[in-house]
Amino acid sequence: MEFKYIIKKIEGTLSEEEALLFESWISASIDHQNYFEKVRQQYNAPPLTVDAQKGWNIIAARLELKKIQFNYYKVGFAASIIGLLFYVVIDQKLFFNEQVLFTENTIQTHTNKAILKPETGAEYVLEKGKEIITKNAVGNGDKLVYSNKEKPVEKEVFNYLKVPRGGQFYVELADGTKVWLNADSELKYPVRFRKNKPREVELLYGEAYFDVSPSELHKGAPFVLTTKKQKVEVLGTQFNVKAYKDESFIYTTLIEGSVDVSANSNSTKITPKQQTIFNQDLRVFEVKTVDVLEHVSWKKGVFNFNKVSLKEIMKVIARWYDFEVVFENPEIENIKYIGSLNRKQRIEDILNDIQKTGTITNFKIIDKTILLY
Amino acid sequence: MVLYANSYLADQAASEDLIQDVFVYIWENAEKIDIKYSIEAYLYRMVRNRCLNFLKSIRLTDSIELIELQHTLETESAADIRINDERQQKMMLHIKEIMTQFPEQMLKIFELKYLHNYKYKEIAEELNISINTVKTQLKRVKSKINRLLLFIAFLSS
Repeated sequence: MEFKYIIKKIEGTLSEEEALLFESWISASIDHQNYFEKVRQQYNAPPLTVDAQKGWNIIAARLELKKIQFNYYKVGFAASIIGLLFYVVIDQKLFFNEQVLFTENTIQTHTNKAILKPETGAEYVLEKGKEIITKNAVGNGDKLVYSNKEKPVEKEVFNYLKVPRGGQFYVELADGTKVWLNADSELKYPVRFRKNKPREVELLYGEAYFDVSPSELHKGAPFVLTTKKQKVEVLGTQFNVKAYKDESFIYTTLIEGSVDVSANSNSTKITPKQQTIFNQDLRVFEVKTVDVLEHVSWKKGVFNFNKVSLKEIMKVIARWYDFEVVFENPEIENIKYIGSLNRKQRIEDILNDIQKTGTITNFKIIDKTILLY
Repeated sequence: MVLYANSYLADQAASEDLIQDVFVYIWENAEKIDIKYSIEAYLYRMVRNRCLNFLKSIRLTDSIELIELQHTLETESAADIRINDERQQKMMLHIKEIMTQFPEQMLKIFELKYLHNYKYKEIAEELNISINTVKTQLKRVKSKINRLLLFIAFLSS
């Protein structure tokens, strides 16, 4: 029998014919009756709460019981599953030159913040505990939402939203497009969009994730995102663009739908799970298939990395926590790590965990600078 | 993941056992396993297969993937991790779009309860309504969603 008849039974919407089917199923076995009862109870029950730590303890105990031979490869593998729950650190020499790094800590150290700059007039600071109401938008320390009820205009007025290092921010534009801005990013967008014209937005620098309101809702007007020399044109889709000042590449990752990426008369179309890498020096595109989660998890305050060098990891940490990082020992810059970091962790804890892997022998934090030895 | 299994099994203890089994299995067979995409997707696939086997044992099928859709809606987790089914993703979009037309308070309650895990009391306080209203509204919204799911599944089948 189809599961949907169980739901229909609970809802009382079975047709006569379906009711017969249901009756013959439920009377066939006591197991069937038990299952139906459980589904019915669950149907109106609140969602479960699960004690993850207890679960892991049971798994650990079961494995212990089986006296499994300790094998470093397996440790590495399981560690990547265990993810954010607890940390496992393995010595580099035992793990093919790659480090596994997971830590968990719940101390909150970052705060979101943004600066809103209208074309004319004074700046607004959007920070914790502060509500802002402008003519077209309302905002607080985490987000800014533009009214979508206003009529399109003939000539646009622009706002600039700047997210400093150390924070991240969410903004909903006047067309309903949702944008997540990562630390150290700036977005330029019209307060209201023009009538029957492409919706043009500019990512001046940094990283942003766009969930674009479909063109059908805007009389077919496409959405165009400009980043330096690159243009991304879409009709309604989700994508991520990364273009930090200290990097000469622009990464465009597509999550859903399709986009046209173009620059200097070069143009390419990508499909979901593909990423274009635009080399601004050579002005060429490269297209590759990627693990999307790795590129968009920052949105949720998580940094996933798979075989990424310590140098690249430190760049992200520097932006998250607003630090400068200095490698006193340049040899360690290129050691690769697999793992995941959470924004909620304290910087000291992250560095401690990296130190435990044996690549850095020591670290010092002086004001806003981290020295790695 | 326990929640995911539970949406099939409707039994928390059984769901927890299933997840533990899966992790132990993966640990023990790490060398044999070939993961093409992400570990997350692999894990979900494995859990799903085991759940479907259970349904089979009690002679149930879910050809319209109602359970999958319900779970996705209630947890807002990405269905594309678990399944690469374009049709289903389209359905999700449809449903979400239609849901935006539900009464605002109803949606708010649903969101607080399922996505933010609020208690009934907390929702009542937040929205300044009685606990009973919260409960009835939740029942109603769930029922509405399920009818919607059935309807859309019917349309696109």
